[in-house]
Amino acid sequence: MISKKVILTGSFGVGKTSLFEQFLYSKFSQKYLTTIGVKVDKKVLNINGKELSMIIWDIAGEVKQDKVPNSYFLGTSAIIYVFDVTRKSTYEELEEDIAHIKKMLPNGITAIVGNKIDLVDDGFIEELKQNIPLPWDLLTSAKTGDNVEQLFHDIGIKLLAQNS
Amino acid sequence: MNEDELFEALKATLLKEDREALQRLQDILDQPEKLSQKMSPVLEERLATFKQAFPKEYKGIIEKIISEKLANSKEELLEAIYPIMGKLIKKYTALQFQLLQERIDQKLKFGIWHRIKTGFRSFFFGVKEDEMILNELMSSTIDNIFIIQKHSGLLIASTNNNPAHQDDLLAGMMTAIKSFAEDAFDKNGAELEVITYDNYQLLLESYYSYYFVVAVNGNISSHQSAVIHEKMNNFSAKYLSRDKVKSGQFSQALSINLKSYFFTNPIA
Ligand SMILES: Nc1nc2c(ncn2[C@@H]2O[C@H](COP(=O)(O)OP(=O)(O)OP(=O)(O)O)[C@@H](O)[C@H]2O)c(=O)[nH]1
Ligand SMILES: [Mg+2]
Repeated sequence: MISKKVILTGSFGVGKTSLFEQFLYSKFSQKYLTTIGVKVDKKVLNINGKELSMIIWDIAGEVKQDKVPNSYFLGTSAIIYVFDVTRKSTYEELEEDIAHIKKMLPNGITAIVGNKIDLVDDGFIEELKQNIPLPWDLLTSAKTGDNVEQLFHDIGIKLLAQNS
Repeated sequence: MNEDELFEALKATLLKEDREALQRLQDILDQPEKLSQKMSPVLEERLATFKQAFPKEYKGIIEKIISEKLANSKEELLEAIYPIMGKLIKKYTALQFQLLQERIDQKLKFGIWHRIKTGFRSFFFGVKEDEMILNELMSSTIDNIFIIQKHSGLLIASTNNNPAHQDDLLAGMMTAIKSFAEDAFDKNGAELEVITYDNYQLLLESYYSYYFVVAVNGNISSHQSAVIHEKMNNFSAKYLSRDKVKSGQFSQALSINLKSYFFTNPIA
């Protein structure tokens, strides 16, 4: 079976741990327990009959990505960059953050994810599209589970493609 | 090293002299004060010689490895000298001296007595002494050995065949702890070498692109730890190359090698 390291990164409180918990255990909690350091878990995905073992690192949020210890990025195959659609400060640095990540991992697969869409309506999303520095890949809700499976599945497909 | 020479001397005595000689020797061994008298000068002399000879020998080892590896790629070279640069200079020297020191300090105690007994056993049964100590340790306390790709934390090999143990997840967690600790206490690229909890010790030995974790249940002496480290170095030299580790994928074949290399009992 193929194994890959995948990291969840972004500013604090955007819902990285919540996406991780929703994906791994189909659980959601309103309580905010900030992550200290890093938490690791694993899930085996079946993608078109092929098994892929994702070792997922849920990293403590940082306001800027260059504050994240380099060692967390090293050896990573895919990065999920999460921002909170309701908090401007979590996507203001998007361009710099993605540039930093690309520099750290030139060959890594990146996904830009706007989380907490359950809190906003379509009009808000349209407006956000105009104002965000870089386009997102997916909008999710860790609370309702919207697009969470999809997010990891898409990454899984890309990881397997990269491997063959 | 020095005990080899010591045992050579003992063996010579044994072969030359008859059973009475053996008895005399036994008497000395049974009496700590007599033993001390006989051993101290030898040990101190060895220590002095070692101190003197070490820089010379060390230089030779480095030069040999560099010349052997220069033909290969830079990363191969790094892989080869990594443990030596890091370990030989700083830790290995310190450890060797500590070992000698320990032996001198405890010359009357269990330490030496045990070593000499093992020396006899290995002489009579033809098993290398290090091998025997390792076996004693293995049978009781080593639970598992992992080889992990350094940065990704992906498991390359493990001595545990049971998939229920989730060694790949453990490998990721240990790597995260290692990264976290090294980042938090960053001191010129120093690497975490041991994680202790309860009665457990995880010994970490880093190479350039991968690291070993030996999960030990219970306390081990610095001598035992030195034997394990040497085993890891030898295993690396024999079975691991950068290419084998590069993909970050689990290797059944390497796991089998790892298991037989560390756990096969040469006496059986
Ligand atoms: N409504 C809603 N709330 C969410 C969603 N995702 C996370 N939250 C809430 O947002 C808060 C922070 O979530 P976490 O998952 O802990 O955020 P984090 O990114 O892991 O934060 P750090 O570990 O501090 O970096 C919690 O109170 C969650 O309940 C979501 O999709 N919708
Ligand atoms: Mg978190």
